Amino acid sequence: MKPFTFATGIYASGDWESASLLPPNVIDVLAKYTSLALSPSGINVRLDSDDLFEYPFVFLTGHLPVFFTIAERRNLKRYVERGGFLFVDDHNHDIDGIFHHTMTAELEKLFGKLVQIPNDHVLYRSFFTFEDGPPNTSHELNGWGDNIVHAHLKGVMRDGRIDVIYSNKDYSSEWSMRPNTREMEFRGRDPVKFGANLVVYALTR
Amino acid sequence: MPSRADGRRGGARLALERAGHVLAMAILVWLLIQSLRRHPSAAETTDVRGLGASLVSWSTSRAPARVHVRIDTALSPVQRDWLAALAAAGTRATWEGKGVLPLASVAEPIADPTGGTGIRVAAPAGATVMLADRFGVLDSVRAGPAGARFLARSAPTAVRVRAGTLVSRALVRDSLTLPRLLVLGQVGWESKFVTAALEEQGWAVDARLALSPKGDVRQGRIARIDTARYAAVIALDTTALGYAAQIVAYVRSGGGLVTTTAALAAPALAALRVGTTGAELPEGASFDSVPLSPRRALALVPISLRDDAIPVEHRDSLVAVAARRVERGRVAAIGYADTWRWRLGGGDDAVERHRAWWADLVASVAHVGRIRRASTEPVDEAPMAHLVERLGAPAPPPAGIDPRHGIPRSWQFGLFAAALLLEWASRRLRGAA
Repeated sequence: MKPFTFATGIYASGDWESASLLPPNVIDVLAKYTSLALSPSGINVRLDSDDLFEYPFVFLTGHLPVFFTIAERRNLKRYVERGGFLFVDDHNHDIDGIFHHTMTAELEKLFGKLVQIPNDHVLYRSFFTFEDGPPNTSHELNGWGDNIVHAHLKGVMRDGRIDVIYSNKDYSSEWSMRPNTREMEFRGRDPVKFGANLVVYALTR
Repeated sequence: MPSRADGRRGGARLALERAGHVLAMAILVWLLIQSLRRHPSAAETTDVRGLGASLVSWSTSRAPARVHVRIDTALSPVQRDWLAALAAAGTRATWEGKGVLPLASVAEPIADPTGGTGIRVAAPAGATVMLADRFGVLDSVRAGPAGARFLARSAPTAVRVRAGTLVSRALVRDSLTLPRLLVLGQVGWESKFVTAALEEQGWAVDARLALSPKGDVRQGRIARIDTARYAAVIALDTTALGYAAQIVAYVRSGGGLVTTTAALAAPALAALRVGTTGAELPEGASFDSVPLSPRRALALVPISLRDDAIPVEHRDSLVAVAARRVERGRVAAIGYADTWRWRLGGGDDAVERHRAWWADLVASVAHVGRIRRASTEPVDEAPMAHLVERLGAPAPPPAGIDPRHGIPRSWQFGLFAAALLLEWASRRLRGAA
């Protein structure tokens, strides 16, 4: 059985590699709390290549404008229709930012309008329990970016199942700057735990 | 006073009258004898088209000593039984037919929520086998060494199968009740996509997937594994071994198991093994390069079969899927690894084909409830076997047989009437009483 591999999507435009520390931190959380078979390191996969279909979970992030190529659009549509899972995070944490505008336009062009994911969705109980929906990030609470604490995630849903998750919460920054274990013990929480929920949800629904 | 010539004419007329009288009496006696004879010596032959009328004739007016039927088209069970009844009454009934092939068919509902009827046909290799339902022809194939097999998604309840001159009629005798499926394994892409495929097919799926030392992911109410609740168990990896004792008992009592070779290799499931496994052949070809046989792009653990196991699918000379009956249940073992790669990365129809492949595999082992259907439709599943059972093996026609043997009964009666009429008319013309 192939182990789970955290894949970061490479797209032709923008800065897809802006959160390169995020994958190892999510993999660390998965290794710490679950018994999943895991690849020890993540992989970067081009959205316009057939290799995309070897990784049913793909993470997309960035700060810059995103314009998918024709091949990227064709692959992404097919990928999601067949059961692939996209987790997209706005690294700007800014709903007036250029990443947000261009990425949501691209996603809506491919999959239809993004809808609000209810905070009682099974996603928030797929491994750890998040009673209030998506956990807030320090960037939101510090008033950076758009100075909004986003209460919901958005996504593309089909028959109640989430195919694409779109976040304005800047998990890219929050999870990249995961504190060390002693700091987490002091704060009493691990901010990357929600990453385990995303992966477990993708693997089981 | 009559002249000498009158006397000569009168003598000839009397002789003619006597001849007519004698002939009429002779025919009457002949008909009487014929009607009283219990074992006439005549033999008759006919083809199937003329058999209906002949059977009526043989059964109502005269029964020949022997009847011989040339089977050139389908012979109905009623006709076979009728011939057998004649044979039981003393008439030797024989048959021949170059196109009469050993043929048998059976139709069963498929253990699948989308329905369908599976038809298996026993026929000589190379014979053209044609399947039809009441609306017309559905399909035709050339029989292989193991006969022919059809899948009718329209789910006909009665089918006709023709091979050579005979037609087999099979009836779906049961309707099915489908319990749930249980998927056991580790949280991963295989468990996700296999469960999704089976649910898309319409199965109700329970799942218990190992996720962490503290807990599993559960779907549905995981009950004790028994045939009342589950049609089949799908064990994807060694995490299913926690249920090994239950799975072994379940299969022995009639349950179905679909499993990977990795799970079957565990000692706890040794009783269910289909064979031994070899070293894994890593995935090689891309899906694009093998569009017609996409499973060639998957990694494979080849299976070496036990004596009582059968191959279900090959890759070249290697066994990729095998099956075995274990007491009342069935086990199918899959040598392929990570079939989800086919669904995600295969050709345009990969999702449908992946789903259908898994559904077929589950249907081949599933334990289902059966409810007998009430039906009055005729069944004739093995026409040649029935023919031989009723009339014996084929035999050559009797030597010198003439289907037009003897004078027809209507001609005999006509001659009898003509002779009487001749005598009566002659007597009336000469004024005799």
